[in-house]
Amino acid sequence: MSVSSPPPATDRLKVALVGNPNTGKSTLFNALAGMRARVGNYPGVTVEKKIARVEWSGRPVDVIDLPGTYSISPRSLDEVVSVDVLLGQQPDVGNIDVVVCIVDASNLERNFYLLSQVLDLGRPTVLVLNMWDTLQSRGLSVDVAALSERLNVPVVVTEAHRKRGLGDLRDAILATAGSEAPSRPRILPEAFYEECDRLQERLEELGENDAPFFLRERMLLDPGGTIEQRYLARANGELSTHLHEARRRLKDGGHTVSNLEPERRYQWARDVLDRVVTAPEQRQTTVTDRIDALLTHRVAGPLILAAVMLLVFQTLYTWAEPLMGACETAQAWVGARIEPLLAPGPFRSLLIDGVVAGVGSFLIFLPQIALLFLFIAILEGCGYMARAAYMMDRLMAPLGLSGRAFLPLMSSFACAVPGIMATRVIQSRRERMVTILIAPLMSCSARLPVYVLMIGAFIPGEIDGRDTAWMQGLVLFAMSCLGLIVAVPSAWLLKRTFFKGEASAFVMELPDYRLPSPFLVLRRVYESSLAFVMRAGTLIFATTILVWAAGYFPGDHSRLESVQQRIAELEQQGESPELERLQIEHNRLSGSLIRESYLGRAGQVIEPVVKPLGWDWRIGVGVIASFPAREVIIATLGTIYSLGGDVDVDDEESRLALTDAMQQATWPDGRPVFNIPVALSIMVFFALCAQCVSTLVIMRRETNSWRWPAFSFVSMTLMAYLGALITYQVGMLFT
Amino acid sequence: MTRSLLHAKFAHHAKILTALNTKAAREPPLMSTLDSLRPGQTGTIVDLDGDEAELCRLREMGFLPGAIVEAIGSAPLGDPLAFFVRGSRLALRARDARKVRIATAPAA
Ligand SMILES: Nc1nc2c(ncn2[C@@H]2O[C@H](COP(=O)(O)OP(=O)(O)O)[C@@H](O)[C@H]2O)c(=O)[nH]1
Repeated sequence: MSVSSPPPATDRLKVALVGNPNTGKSTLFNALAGMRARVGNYPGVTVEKKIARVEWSGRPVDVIDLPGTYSISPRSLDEVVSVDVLLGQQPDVGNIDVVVCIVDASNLERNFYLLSQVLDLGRPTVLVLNMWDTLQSRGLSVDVAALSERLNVPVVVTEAHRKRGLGDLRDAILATAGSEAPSRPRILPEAFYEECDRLQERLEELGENDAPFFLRERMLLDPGGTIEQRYLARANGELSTHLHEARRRLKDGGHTVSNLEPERRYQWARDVLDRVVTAPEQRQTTVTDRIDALLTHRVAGPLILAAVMLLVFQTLYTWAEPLMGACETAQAWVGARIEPLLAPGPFRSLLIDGVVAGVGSFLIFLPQIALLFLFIAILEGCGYMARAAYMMDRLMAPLGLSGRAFLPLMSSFACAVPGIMATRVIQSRRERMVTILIAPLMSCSARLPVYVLMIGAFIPGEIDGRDTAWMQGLVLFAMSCLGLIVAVPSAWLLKRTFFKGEASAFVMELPDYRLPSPFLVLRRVYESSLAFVMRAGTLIFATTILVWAAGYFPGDHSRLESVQQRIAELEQQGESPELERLQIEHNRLSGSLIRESYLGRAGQVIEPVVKPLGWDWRIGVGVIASFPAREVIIATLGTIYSLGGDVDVDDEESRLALTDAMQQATWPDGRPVFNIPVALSIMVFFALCAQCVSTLVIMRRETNSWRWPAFSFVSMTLMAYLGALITYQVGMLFT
Repeated sequence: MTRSLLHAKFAHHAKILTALNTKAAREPPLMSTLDSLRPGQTGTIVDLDGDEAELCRLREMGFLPGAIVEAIGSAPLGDPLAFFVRGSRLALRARDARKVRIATAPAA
C-alpha cells in the first residue's frame, strides 16, 4: 500500500453526468464508478449527491451523477442544484471539467432538447449515445461522425448495461478535459442574444459581474424562474424592470419567450439530425406496445397491478416477519450472552437495554427496506413503475398527488420508514414532500399490537351470550382506516399551503420495457440499506439510549440488582416457590423504579394534560416512553403494572395478565381507569400520533432538514390529542 | 394573432396533414383537442391554450404546434391518456390534454 497522500482536490478531474430519465444514466454511472460511489446530500435541498472517486489512466477523476431531467431550466431549489453544479457554482463540488450528456440513441430528437441546453452552458462536452443496441434493433441508424462534426463535440456510442463503449467514453472524457468548450450553437434568434448582452451590461452596472451566459439566458427565458428570483433578491428593483422591458422588446420583435425556447430547440434538434439519422418510414409496433396492450388493458391491467401490489404488500407485511423475528431473536441472544458476564448495574442495563436494544431498534427495519427496494429496483428497471403510476393516477389526483405516490403510501401501511424512503420514485419535489408528510398517518404494523391489546381487553367479544366479535373487528377496521381518512384532507391542505406552486401540467413518460440488470437491482438494495444504517441508524440508536436513561435514572437500583443476582443463582437450581416470589418482587421493584424515574415523573407532570383524554399518569408514561416506537407502550405498561417488561401480545398468557392489570387499575378514588372510551381514546391517539422516532429520523434524512419532522411531530401530536379528546368526551356521553 | 397569421399557420398544418394522409387531402382537417383523439388516431398540434405556467412543461416535452401526436389509449379509469409524440410515450391528464388544440384528418 502506498503511503503518499492523495493529490490535492484541484488536480482531480471533475466529470458531471446529465441526461433524460430512462436513458440508462444510472447504469452508466455505476459502470464508470465501480463500487466507489459515495452518496450524500447537497446542503439545504433534497437532491442526492452522488460522486464516485475513480482513477483513469493514472488520472484521479470525480464522476458526479446529476438527477435525470428533461430540461435544465430550473423551477425549484432542487432543480437549480444541477445548474449550479454544471456551472461550477456549487462550492462543495467545484469546477466541472467535462459535462457528459447521455442520450437515448433510439430517441434522439427528444433527448436533444436537453443537449441543446447543455451546449449553452459553454463547458467542454462529450455526447454519449447509449442504448445503441435498441437503435439497431429498431432498424435505425445514426452517422456518428457526421453528428460529431455538426455538433462540434466528441460523440461516443455505448451500451451501458453490457459495459460496451466505456473505454471509448473514458478516453473521450480525458481527451476533452482542458480543451476549448464547443462554441454555443446559435439556436435562438439574434435579437435574443443581443438582449443577453444588454442584460450583461445592465448586471455589471448593478455590480453583478458574475452572471454566466447560461444564467442570463435563463433569466430572460424563465419569467418567475429560480435564477431570476436569485438575481432579483441580490440586485435592486431595476433588474426586474430591465427583464420586463427586455421580454417586451422581444415580444414586439415577434418572439414570445414562452414559445421561443421549445420551438427553436426542437427545430434545432430536427435540423441537426436531418440526414444524420435514418429511420424507417412508419413507426413500428414494438414489443413495448404489445406488452402495454396487456399490462394497461382495461380489465387485465388493474388485475395484474393489484396482484403485483398485493405481492409487495404481503412481502413487507408478512414475509418480512421471519427476518424481523430473527433480528429480535439475535438481539435477545446477544443480551442473554452479555448478562452473565457482567454484574447487575447501570452499565449492564445500559449495554443490554440501551445499546443492544438500540441497535436492534434500527436493524429491525432493514428487512422491510431491503425487500421494498428490491421491488422498486425491479419495477423501475423494467419500466412497470411508470405503468403502475399511470393506472393509479386517477385515484391519487383528487389528493393533489400523482400515481407515483401510490407505492410509497401503500408501503407505509406496513411501515412508514421504507415508505418514506420509497418516495424517491416521485420526481416532483412538492408532491414528494406531501407524500412524506402523510405517510406516517397510514396504519403501520407497529400500531397493531396496541390495537390488539386494547380491543382484546375492553371491546367485549360477547355480550349476554351473544357473539360480538364483529364489534372487535369493526373497531380494528375503523382504527386502521382512521389515519387514511385524516390523510386525505391533510394532503389537500398541505398542497394548498406549504406546497402550493404553479399548477404545471402533469406529463409522465412511459418508457420502453427492458430487462432490469440483476447487478443494478442488488446494488440499489444494498445502497438504500446502507444509507439507512449509516445515516438514520445512529440517530435512532441515540434516541433509544436517551429514553432508556430517562426510564433508568435517578432511582436506586441496588435492591433490584440484589434480587436479580438471587434470581440468577436460583435459576440454576430450577423452579422453586422462592424463585417465583423473587420474580414477583423483581417486577414490583422495577415497577416502582420506573414510577420514580424521570420518565415516570414526566408522566405525573403531564397528567393534568392527559386527564381530559381519560388517561392517568401511567398511560401518560406509556405514551412518552413509546416515543422511540409505538409498540413500546405495551412493555412500558407491563413494567408499570409490575408484570415485567416482556409482555407479548401474541402470547395469550402474558397478554391476559396485562389485560387483568389494566382492568383492575383504579384512580385514587377507586373508579376504574380503563373503560371503553379510554381504550378508544388511546387507540385514536396511537392512530394519529407521530410516536416513532425512526419515522422522524428518516423524514429528516429524506427532506434534509429538521423542519419537517418537527412540523410532522407537532401537527400529528395535536391531531392525535384532539382526536383522543373528542373520542373520550363523546364516548363518556354514552356510558 | 391576426386572422391572416392564423390562416397561414392553419395552411401549414393542413400541408403536413396532406403529406400524412393523401386520402383526406381534399377535405379540410377537423379541429379538436388532444383528449378527443381515439386510440390509433393521429393529429397535428395547432396551438396550446391555457395558463402560461401550465403550458411550459407541455412545450418542453415537445407538445408544440406542428408536432404530430398519436393517441395510444387511456388508463383503465379513463384518465390519464397516453400519446406517442416525438418518439416517446407520454401520459397526460385529460384536463391538460384539453389545452392542446389539434387538427385531424376527417375520417375516411
Ligand atoms: N437495451 C439497453 N438497455 C439499457 C442500456 N443501458 C441501460 N439499459 C437498461 O435501461 C433501464 C434503465 O436504466 P437506468 O440506468 O435505470 O436509467 P436512468 O433512468 O437513466 O438512470 C435498465 O433496465 C437498464 O438495464 C443500453 O445501452 N441498452
